[in-house]
Amino acid sequence: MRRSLVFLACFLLACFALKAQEEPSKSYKNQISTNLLLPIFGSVDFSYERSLGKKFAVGVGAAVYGEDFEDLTIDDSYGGGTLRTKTEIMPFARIYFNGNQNKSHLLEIFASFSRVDEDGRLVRFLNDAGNGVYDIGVESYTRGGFGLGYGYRFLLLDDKLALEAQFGLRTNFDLNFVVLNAVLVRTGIKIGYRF
Amino acid sequence: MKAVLISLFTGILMVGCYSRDDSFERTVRLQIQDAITLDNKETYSVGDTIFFEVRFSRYLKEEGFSSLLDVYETTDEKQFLYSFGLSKYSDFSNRYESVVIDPELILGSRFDNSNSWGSFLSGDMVVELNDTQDFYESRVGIVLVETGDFQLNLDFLTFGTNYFNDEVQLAIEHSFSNDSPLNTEFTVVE
Repeated sequence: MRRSLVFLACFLLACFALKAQEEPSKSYKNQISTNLLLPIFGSVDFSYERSLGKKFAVGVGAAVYGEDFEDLTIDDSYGGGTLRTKTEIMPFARIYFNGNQNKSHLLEIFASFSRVDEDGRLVRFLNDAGNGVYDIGVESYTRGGFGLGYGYRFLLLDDKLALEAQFGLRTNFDLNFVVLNAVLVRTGIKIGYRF
Repeated sequence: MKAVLISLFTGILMVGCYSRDDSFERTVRLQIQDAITLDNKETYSVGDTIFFEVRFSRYLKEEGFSSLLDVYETTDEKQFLYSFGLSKYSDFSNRYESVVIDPELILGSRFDNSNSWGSFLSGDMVVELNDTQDFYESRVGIVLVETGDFQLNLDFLTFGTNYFNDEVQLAIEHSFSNDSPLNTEFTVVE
């Protein structure tokens, strides 16, 4: 249900944007933004973006996920255990087809370094006597991933305010049966400040 | 700008290398050496019993860790299963061939396999935690009832938990060192 609402919101926002009037723009090189939908899932993210040339931009995003974020993943049940992504850092690069100083469709590629907790793993600890003991428990580790995103960015208030609708998928290259795992990442409606 | 984009793209490609072993392994594997002793006699008579003993500590070295592993606390098992084999030299094949031993001729603590699919060859035995709970031990005797040249197959034994469930599984793999004095070949005469 939540996922459907996210898709619907993205679609409506994109339709709305197509009717917006294009206005003369100033040149801003930097943008900070946050996803307005992630708090619904008990999560939060921030991104910083730096424009390069006329069409490109690079940046980095960081996110802290709550338990409800699992609703957006299909790899939450992995090999009998449970994966829970806790935090994630995502360097990204974007191309704005209409230029990075205009409202525009955008295509994004991003890397992912996520900190995950996985239960059902062998975990070694030391007992009171200082000897190692294994148990089945939660193991925390960092893993890499790769993602693609597509969206549309609107510029408002003399181009200082950015409003983005974006859809992004990230994989950690694991297979769920025969399907490459995928998580909705950097998806939603973002609001940003340009300077 | 191109350099930045190329660097970023290269970095993204390298993310795939930033991975881990995703195998969903719940078995802890350990290696031990020379945990088996034998009479080392070269000749026996029909009716004699040949004995071998297994003994290893409850606390075992584990590769990659400085602390010893407490295998009892890890598994909560006082017994680990293992199987040994006996081979007899055959002039027909010009090599040692496996021999199935009547369980009545094997002395020692055996694994109760009444609920399992049965054993392969000679013996499904167990090593048991001793009374002081610091060593796992097993003493096995084989009553020799026929003549010939024999070989006990004791190398590369694996001592392990005997079924799979959601608990930690353990496999202790045994081998003999190159300088082991153990002689597993013997002859049985009338």
